[in-house]
Amino acid sequence: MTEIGTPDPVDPEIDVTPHVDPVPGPIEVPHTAPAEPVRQPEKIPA
Amino acid sequence: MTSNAIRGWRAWRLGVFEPSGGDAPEVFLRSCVHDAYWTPREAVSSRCVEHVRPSLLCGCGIYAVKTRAAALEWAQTTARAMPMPLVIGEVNLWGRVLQFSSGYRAQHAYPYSLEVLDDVLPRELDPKLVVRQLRDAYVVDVTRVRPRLAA
Repeated sequence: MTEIGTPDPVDPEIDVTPHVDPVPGPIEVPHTAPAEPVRQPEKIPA
Repeated sequence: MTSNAIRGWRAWRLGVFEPSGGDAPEVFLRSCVHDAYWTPREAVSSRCVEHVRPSLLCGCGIYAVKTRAAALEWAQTTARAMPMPLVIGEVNLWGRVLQFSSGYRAQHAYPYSLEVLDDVLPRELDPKLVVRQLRDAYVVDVTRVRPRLAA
């Protein structure tokens, strides 16, 4: 067991409710290719 | 009430799962003391038969220290007791958190970043693979370091 010292004399117990979930969510990976093919830039008229 | 997770430091054992069929071993985080497995993408919560939340009257809670140096010392102590692959890193703590002069005991925890200690990695584990597997599994930054852990 590691040593973590003595209780904080001022504020030993706090409640922490993070705004941002510290646990990463699932990674969304597209399973299919985009429906629309990437459009090639049109040639600029000379 | 605090709205940001508290950031502490920890040491973990590196658990190794060796699948049959000759596939590369898979790694995961385990507690240094208890036989607790840190499931990827799930918060670890304190387990005590008497308290739902850590209590000053008990020794329960997820332990963390305040500095990287203290986490390295934790790893060093663990390595002295039993040679094993080790990881240190920052850990987010939330829920009921008990504050001590050198660390914390928390209700919930999840790693924030990890450092694989190269010096105590067994030869059969490829350090680059370990880093990649931990990064992919826990979705946190993972680096390799070479601290001098005294024998």
